[in-house]
Amino acid sequence: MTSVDLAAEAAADLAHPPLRGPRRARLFAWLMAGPASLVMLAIMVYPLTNLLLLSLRDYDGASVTAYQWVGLANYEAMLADPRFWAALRRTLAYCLLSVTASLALGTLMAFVVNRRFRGVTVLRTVFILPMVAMPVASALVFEAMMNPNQGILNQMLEAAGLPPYTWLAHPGSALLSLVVLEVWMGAPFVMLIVLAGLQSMPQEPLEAARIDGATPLQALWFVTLPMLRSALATAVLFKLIDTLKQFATIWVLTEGGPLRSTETLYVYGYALAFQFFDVGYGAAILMALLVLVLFVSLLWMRVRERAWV
Amino acid sequence: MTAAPAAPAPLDGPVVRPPPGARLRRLARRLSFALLAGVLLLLFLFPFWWMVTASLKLPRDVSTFPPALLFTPNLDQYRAALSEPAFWWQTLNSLVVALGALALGLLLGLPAAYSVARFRLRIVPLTVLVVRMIPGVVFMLPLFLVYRQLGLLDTHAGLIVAHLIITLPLAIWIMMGFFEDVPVEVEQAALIDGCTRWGVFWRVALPLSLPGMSVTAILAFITSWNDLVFVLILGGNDTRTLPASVLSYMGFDTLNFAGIAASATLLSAPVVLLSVVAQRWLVGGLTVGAVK
Repeated sequence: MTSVDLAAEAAADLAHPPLRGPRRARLFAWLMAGPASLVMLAIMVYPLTNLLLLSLRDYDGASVTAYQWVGLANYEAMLADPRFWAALRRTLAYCLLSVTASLALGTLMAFVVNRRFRGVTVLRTVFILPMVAMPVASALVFEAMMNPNQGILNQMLEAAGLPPYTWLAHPGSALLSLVVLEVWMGAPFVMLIVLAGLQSMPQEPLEAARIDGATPLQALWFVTLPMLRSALATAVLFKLIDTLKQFATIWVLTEGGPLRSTETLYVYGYALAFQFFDVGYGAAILMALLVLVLFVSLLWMRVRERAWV
Repeated sequence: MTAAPAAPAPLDGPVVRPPPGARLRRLARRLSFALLAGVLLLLFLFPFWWMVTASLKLPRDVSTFPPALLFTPNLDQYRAALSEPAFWWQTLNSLVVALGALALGLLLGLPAAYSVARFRLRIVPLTVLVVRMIPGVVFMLPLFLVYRQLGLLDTHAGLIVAHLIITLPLAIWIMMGFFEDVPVEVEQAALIDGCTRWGVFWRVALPLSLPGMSVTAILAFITSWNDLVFVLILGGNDTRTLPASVLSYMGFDTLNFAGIAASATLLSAPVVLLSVVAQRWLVGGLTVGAVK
């Protein structure tokens, strides 16, 4: 904010006269962004339109030309398909359970590592490891730990005098076991978001509440949590999208079994398209998944607009 | 906030003395906090602890309960895994794909991110965001059909291009923020000194954003390294990466816990070590898009 800056700006104007400057600047901008924009557009537009077209066909994927246009028949079949509805219900159950548990656990973790104490850096580092570890490898580890006969989790239950659990081996418990892994991998993300929220939060309202005689619990419930609203909403919606998209761990652990008890929309669509080569119908199922994800994304964009723009 | 005993009493009020039992209560609160932190630590560390110790035990000792805390480490499982030629091929494939996609992502993404940060192109961030949200499998079905036409299935080039779906949005999104933080004055000064606009990007903005580039590189590498669905659909025998190799464990030999643990350790170790080393910088990147 000195005369030097002003002189610099004036010199910049001279070096790039307004008439020539902005236009050339815009050309430069698009030259720089052009290749990436083209790739991004191609990545987005081509597969999405193509998927839509595929979903209107009866197509086994064998040859490029051997297909028939069937209009909305695949979608009609989808709405009449009990397996689709079951997969949708499972997907929602999986997402809601994982997100709720991740939210609770992650928020708790954020409050813990928001304090200053010796070892907090170590704690934070350990907490983010499940996020970056290879999901497929984590799935293997959980598979071994959840083994009904020799897994360490059942050994621990037994040592505590509790009955063993069936974990992934039984249709009634498999989805819940996958949720356990999802929460272990997902809570750290919630922690990071809530931690960022806590650290950018003004301290005055909390102090005011304390002076007015609020108990710590009241301060948490009436002051801190409301101020974290947008962070919490962001964490929830991001986690929702990520769990809707979960595939690797489910595929490694159960492939949708036992008895389809863990077959989510993603798994069902994948199996249809790439195992049974029912490409047209698989595309319709994937379109349903896409719509679900885009719906949550739109919600998130609205939250974001209100919070940060 | 206890008053020091030697401090003189303030003139306008009584000395605030902690009520009896306050110390005890504070101690209890501290203890319960430590307990909570300990339980959480245990919860998140336990699978890693199990993985590493199980991988170092003899197969017959893995399932003994309570697990032995002290034992002579045994490297047989690692020796077995590392003596597989397939393991090395898969590692090489993983490296080629992840590094290739990372390099291509940076090459395309850096200029774009700079352009977005400086010239405010609205459409690019929106596209980036949408691609970040869409499930991978949605891209895969059309891509699979095209790749089959073009003969790109089971090729490294094909996988690298597909992994751009992961690395390019990541690179643009993270670097946008870092380029915005480069002071405009520095760039203006360079312009006055006769630098071209490209020169400003290349010689000023890029060097000043090196920390951001390392965050981007690490995150793009991790995400690409960890991915399963792309390689499952577009890969094959020649390009099988490490995550896909795991699928061969399913169905048989699931009771060789020590072997499974050793493989899991080998698969996760590179990215976990990378994250531990870089954790200070990484935290901002992991929440990218969610926190501004």
